[in-house]
Amino acid sequence: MIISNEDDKLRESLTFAEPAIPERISADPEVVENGLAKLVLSIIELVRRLLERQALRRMDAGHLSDAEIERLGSALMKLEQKMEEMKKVFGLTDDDLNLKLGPVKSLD
Amino acid sequence: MKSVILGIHLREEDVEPVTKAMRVADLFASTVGVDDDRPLADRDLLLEIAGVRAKLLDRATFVAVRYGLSVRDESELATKCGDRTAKWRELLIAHREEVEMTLKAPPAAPTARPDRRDFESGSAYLRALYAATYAVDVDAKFRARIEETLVPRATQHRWMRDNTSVELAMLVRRSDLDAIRDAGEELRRDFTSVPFLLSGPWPLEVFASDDHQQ
Repeated sequence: MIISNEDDKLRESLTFAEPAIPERISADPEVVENGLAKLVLSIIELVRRLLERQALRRMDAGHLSDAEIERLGSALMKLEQKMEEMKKVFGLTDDDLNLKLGPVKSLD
Repeated sequence: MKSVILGIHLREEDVEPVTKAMRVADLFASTVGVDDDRPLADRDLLLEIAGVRAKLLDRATFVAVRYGLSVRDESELATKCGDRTAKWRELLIAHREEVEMTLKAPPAAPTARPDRRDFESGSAYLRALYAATYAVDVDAKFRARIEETLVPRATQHRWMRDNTSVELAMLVRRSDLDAIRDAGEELRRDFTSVPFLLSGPWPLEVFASDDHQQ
């Protein structure tokens, strides 16, 4: 059963036609590095978001001690900082790394 | 040849003859054999597995296993999953006549994400992220209608949020699926301005997760 009032948006999001994952990687040495970096960083960003979401769900369920909240929060801060540094190195923005993950939402 | 694990089932006949069953303690895992050189992300394989999952759910409710777990044999499965079988058995018995449904919608007004540079401790940052994330909600009238028509049909429900969507996971009796469908059609008719997606039935996933407390 799938019921949606946004059929066009739903169809679009289910295609996974995502500019962050190019159909082919250009072999031009001047752009290949940037294309690969975009692909790899998109995947790292996806994993970072999943980790963040999992941490928030565990907090919501009351499963985290104060020490664990501190440790997870510090790890997420460092990960975010590292991602910002890497995006800067390759000249990428948040929009460049925005993967669509499925119905009614994108990674961002 | 490796075996991809799709789910955990109470009875062998819940799995076979749809697909091959593999015993784990006193339960049964549904499996699909995959050649070693075939990637698990293969599109045709994913479609095949989605079809098998749907057929399995038609037979009986099962605990979904996150896609990607594969084993060589029963002993490897026992090593990887043996410590969870007691909990799975409890869930499968308790929810045999139930399935999951989910409804996703965007927040009415997304909240601003905290800037990590404003925080000196990880704890303060994560608590601020939590507050910002869990402050979001769907359109008030839309939510009120959901609380009035869908939630009472659920034996359990859980609201989940992130910065971009609000999701309602519901555990519903199979016998209530038609009523859920009717309520969904009413939502589509009455709330044309709120994009949403109501989908299911799904096997036990949200309500079988480690972070779910009953």
